[in-house]
Amino acid sequence: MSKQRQRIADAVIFVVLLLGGLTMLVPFLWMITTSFKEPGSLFDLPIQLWPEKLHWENYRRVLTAVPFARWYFNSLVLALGLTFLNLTSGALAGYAFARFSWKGKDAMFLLSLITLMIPAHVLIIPLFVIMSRLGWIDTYYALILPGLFDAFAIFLMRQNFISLPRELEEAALIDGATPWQIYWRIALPLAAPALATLGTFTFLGGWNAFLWPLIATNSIEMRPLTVGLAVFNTQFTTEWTVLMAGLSLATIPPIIVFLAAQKYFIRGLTLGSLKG
Amino acid sequence: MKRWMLAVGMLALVLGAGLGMARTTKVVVAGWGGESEIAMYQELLKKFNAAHPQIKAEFMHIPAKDYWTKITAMFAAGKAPDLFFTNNINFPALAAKGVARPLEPFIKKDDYDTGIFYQGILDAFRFEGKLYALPRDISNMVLYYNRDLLREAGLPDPDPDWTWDDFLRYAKALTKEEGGKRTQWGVSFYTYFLFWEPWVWSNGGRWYSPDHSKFLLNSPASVEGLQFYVDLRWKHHVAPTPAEAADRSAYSLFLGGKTGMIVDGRWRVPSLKKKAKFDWDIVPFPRGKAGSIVDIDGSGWAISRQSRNPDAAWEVLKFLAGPEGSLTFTRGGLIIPAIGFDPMNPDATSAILKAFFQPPPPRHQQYFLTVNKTAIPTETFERWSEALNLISKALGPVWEGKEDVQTALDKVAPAVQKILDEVQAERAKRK
Repeated sequence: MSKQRQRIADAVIFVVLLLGGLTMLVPFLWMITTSFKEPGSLFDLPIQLWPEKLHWENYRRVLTAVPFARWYFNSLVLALGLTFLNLTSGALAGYAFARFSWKGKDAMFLLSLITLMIPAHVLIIPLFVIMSRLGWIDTYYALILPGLFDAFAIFLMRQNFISLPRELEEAALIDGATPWQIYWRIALPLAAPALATLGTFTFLGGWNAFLWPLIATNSIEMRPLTVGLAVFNTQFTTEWTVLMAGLSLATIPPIIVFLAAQKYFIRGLTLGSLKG
Repeated sequence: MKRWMLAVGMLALVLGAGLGMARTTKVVVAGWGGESEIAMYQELLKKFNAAHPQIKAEFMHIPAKDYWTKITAMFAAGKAPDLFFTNNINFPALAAKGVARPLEPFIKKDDYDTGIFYQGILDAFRFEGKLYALPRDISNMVLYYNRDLLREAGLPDPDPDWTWDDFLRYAKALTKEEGGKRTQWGVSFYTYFLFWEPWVWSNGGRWYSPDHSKFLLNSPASVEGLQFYVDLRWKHHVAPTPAEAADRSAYSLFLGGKTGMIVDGRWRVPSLKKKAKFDWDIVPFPRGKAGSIVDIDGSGWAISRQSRNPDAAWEVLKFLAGPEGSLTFTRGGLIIPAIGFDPMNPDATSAILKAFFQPPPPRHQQYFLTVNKTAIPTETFERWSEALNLISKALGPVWEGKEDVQTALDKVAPAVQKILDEVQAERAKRK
């Protein structure tokens, strides 16, 4: 009886997930099919789901008409650099907030959280002023370094370190480990799921960033993909098919990152470090 | 040892002298545009630099999306480009902040003749009596029509002097119904202001009084004109309703042959040439009570106040806006040149006109130029976009057929008037 109900519930969940998944997939499919359409046929009626003939011209154009490879590289530098710095700073600061105590610690933590409440648009102009005084405009420094510290990363890592059982670290301490060894050998590996989550978020954030890279770069060569591809979206017209060809190629790294990080998400749920 | 030092010294001297000689004035030109336009800029500036060894002009491309955010940030940081591309719609707000230099001193110094440009587009770049930009291009509106659909409905090509009544007759004849459902409409329907202001103006209405002190969009002439436009959709049903258009844009309906006519700008020509599967042409906007009045808006370059080399910037500006620049951009096929025919400079200006008249369609390209005679610039002012936001929001229910024009505009009038009053006060303070 209860098994029967279980199976019905499973079926319902399955259908809901399937519908949800399809809804998520449609825009991607649309992007890919559009990238193979002839420029004029995009608005043909009735709507063509799949073009009669694969039109590779869009890919040729996006790869040759603009410095696509350079933009791709810039996007990778931006997203990976941001991810690396954010994971490092977030984990270190988060661990400090979770495990050490000093005067004014709570105030500092609160202060860092308050920065989450400042809308990004307010920061644009002051940041630009600082970056141009430093002479960093149109360099990778200006693209990446403003994202070096992120209150969300610190918060996420702190919460994660707090939730780890203190006993493990105490055991290491008794064995004579230094605080750094404890952090590096014990706490950090246990935080892998959180790092994977944070890393994915940061990577996607960096990969999708538009406004700041637009402000921070002047030359066409220093642009990441998001800003670069905007050249196909002009005042009055948008070259949808070429744009979608570029976007289809641009979607690959986020998918790889997600697939790579995925197993950590799952392991995070099943992780049991303390028994009995 | 000594020789070695001497060598280094010599090298330093030579390097220093070389650097000193190579010192040129740098002029950064910021602008938006697609990849073909970037190439045109680069080609032009290369030519300019070759002819002016003491100036090094450089193009800085900024995508149209968030162009103004970037420009604002650069001004705030004191790193503004020497020349920046702007349209007349966004310009007064910038000019009021004093970011650009008036061009009169430069014009006087060079005895430069601005008469080569259409008067209307120069007016569009005047702010508080001073000219701030030399124009590159003009955008205005004409009516595009699908000749195949007209022929199918037994309609001849519209007369260039046609009236609103003629237009309505055409629109009705082009509307088709099948089983109680509209399958084809007379005219595409836009709700963006550029597309409805000709209906206001051509009926004798205005947005504001000439000095922007009074809101006039809710005055009888303005309301009547705009209501005529709205009635196309909701009373005569010769334009698709939002539900009928679904997610298809006004332009894609025309391109797909679902509407017979569309009021639109020159920028549609390249796309129609490439994609339209029907015969098409253009005709001036139909005549209302006050004539056929569309907008003459456009874009051009202004010299920024922060430029450290305004004189060099002026040289670049003259080159870009002048015959050579105009010819290159006109050849690109995207723009209507702001330079008209100049009897003092017939060869250069007729080359531009020749470049503008590309092989048809449209057969009657001259209308893109003739309409400029009666056209007026959009009535922008310092806080134009704020007022526009209010007005656009108020018109929302009108486009959906839930409110009439008079009611909607009367409701928003006090708020817009308040902005106008504040602008008057700010202007008085600046003087």
